[in-house]
Amino acid sequence: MKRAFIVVYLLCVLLTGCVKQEILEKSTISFVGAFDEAADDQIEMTLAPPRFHSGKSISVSNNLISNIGHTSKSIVQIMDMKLNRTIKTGKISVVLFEKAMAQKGLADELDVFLRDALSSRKLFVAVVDGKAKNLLHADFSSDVEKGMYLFDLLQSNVRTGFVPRQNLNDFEYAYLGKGMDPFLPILALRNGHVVISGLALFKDDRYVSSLNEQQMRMVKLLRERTKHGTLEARLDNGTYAAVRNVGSNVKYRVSRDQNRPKVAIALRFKGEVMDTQGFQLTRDEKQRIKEALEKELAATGTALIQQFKNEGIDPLGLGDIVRSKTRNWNEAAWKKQYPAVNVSLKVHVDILDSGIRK
Amino acid sequence: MKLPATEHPRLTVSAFLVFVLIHAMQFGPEYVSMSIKPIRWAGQDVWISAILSGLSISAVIWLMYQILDRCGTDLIHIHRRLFGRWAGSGLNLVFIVYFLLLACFQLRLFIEVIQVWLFADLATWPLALVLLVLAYYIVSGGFRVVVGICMFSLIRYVTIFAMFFPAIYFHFNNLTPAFDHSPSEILQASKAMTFPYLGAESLLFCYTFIKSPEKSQKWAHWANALTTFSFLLILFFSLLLFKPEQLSFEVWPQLTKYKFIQFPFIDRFEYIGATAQILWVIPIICFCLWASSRIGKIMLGVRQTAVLPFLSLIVFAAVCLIPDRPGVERLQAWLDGFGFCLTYAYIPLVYLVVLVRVKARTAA
Repeated sequence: MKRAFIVVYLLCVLLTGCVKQEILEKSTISFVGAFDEAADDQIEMTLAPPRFHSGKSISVSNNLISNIGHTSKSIVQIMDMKLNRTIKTGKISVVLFEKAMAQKGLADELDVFLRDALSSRKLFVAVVDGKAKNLLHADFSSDVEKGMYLFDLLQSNVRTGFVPRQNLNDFEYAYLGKGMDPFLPILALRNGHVVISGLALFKDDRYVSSLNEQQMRMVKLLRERTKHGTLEARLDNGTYAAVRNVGSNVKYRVSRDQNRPKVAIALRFKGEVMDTQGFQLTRDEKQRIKEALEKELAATGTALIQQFKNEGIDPLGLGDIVRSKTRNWNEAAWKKQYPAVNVSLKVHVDILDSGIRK
Repeated sequence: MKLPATEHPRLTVSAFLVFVLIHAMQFGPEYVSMSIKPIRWAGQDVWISAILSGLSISAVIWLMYQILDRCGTDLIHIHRRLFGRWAGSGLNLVFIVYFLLLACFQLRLFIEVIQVWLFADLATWPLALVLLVLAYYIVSGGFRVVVGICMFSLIRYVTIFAMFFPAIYFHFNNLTPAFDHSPSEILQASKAMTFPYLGAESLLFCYTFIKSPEKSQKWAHWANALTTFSFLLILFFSLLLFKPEQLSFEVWPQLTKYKFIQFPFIDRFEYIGATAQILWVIPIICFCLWASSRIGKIMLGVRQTAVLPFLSLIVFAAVCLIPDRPGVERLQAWLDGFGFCLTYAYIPLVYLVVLVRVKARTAA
């Protein structure tokens, strides 16, 4: 009996090599995938696997491949036929969509990534102003591979900039969750550089409108606690002051007002004056910067919320916040009253320090 | 006519090991998908249902100890004594089938997870064979080895750290408003959680293997308390990370959490998470094989190791015959129904019969 066990276990150990192997040197790995519309309801997918050159000054470039088909997995199959190494899609970290495609809805395409056991939940999704394929073809990163470049661009701006976090998981959460709508960053090509040019707003999974950088900042401040980034305050006398964010916090308070929910948003912003264009910072001056900033943030925020209400979209997730404070919340009723809901925004700015000078 | 209460001391385990055994039996691999249905019923109030289920199982544990302590032997003998030789053997046979199907389910679920997350082209039978040979090896070592494997499997609690990685994606407003569901919805959610809570019935079959069994009751209750706590953690985690609408699209939300973990040296942590499921599976398979072979031994009056190979073969064949996800789900639904009747109807029934018999004898 013991001998039989030993034989069986030896077999187990020896046969472990007999599964399907995936060898790194024999596969094509792309960090970015781009989707564009094509004729007859088809899609065009572009992958940019890195190509390494040994002994050259530019050691890495991208090998761009595009194909048209009905489903992304079948396109990968077609692409394999022009590559000496088969494609593995598990490492895709950035997915780009053409704006026209986003207008028709992204749920079907994103389902591929949510369904695949090999793909990440933390991958970034972005909408491209123009053709996504053209963006990948542009020569925007000289020293890094394009996919990693785009990933780092989005990652660093989400972490330390004013781009609200929105990855695949967040998108699905806001899309399927009731009382909120998703949004995505917009990438655009400007003078050969890729820039995050704003925020694409969605109704369900369809792109409806966009926000500029200024408004995107406000969305970030209204959604998350932040402690990075710099804001600019325009003072009455026409000069500007730059205030660095050292911690912002946002609180939502829901109450009822004539049988209708009322949302009071309180935004606290702690800042440090970094650039005063030369004038001396007296106490009055600090007060003026503070007031100017408060006014500006409140004005941008209120206008933004009004815009959301007019368009019937809810990227801030106000519906979800009201739901969490209301018994028997009902989505249809909320959608009906949403344009008329009283949402107030109060901004409080604290100027703490002013660098190492007075 | 009291039978000898315990086996030979060489074969018994300490009373506190009941804690390990019951907990390992309750906390099975079905936890990966346990949050979907209850949350569909009771949403953010699902914690009430989990506590209710835990309390009801505690009551059932109390009932079981009442039965076992009064009779002083395990359910296999009680069956014969209460219902006669033939009916008792019939009932014992039902339990053999139950334990074998339970083993099949655990094994097939694990193989399915491996097939979906790691190797899509892996056939069912090689892995089933390897795991059953392992289970055979453990079970042929006797009850103490099975309990040892249960103890070893508690290493699973290391994976609790995986819950902290998606913490930045938690949405705490998913937990309010509290008490927004009707009592019937909360009870429905409780009912949907019966299957994950099953496992305490293992006590009915290993009672005679516990040294001083009357002292072990508190350990059984503590095991149930730990299970309830673990399930609460899992439910809260699912509520915080996912919207209920998202959960209805997920098959195994508790494995999806590993998708949020990335290290520079291991990018796909779900490979580790999926394979770690073995720690939930192996103790249950081993106990099921042990219990069914023990029933077989007593029924047929042969050595336990003589029955075990046949039972393992039956499990192997049955596992290979479950082809896909719907098959696994059907089996789970069946076990769920049987387990529900077993815990909430059959055990109280046996308790009543035992009570009536004792009363009748003292009256006579």
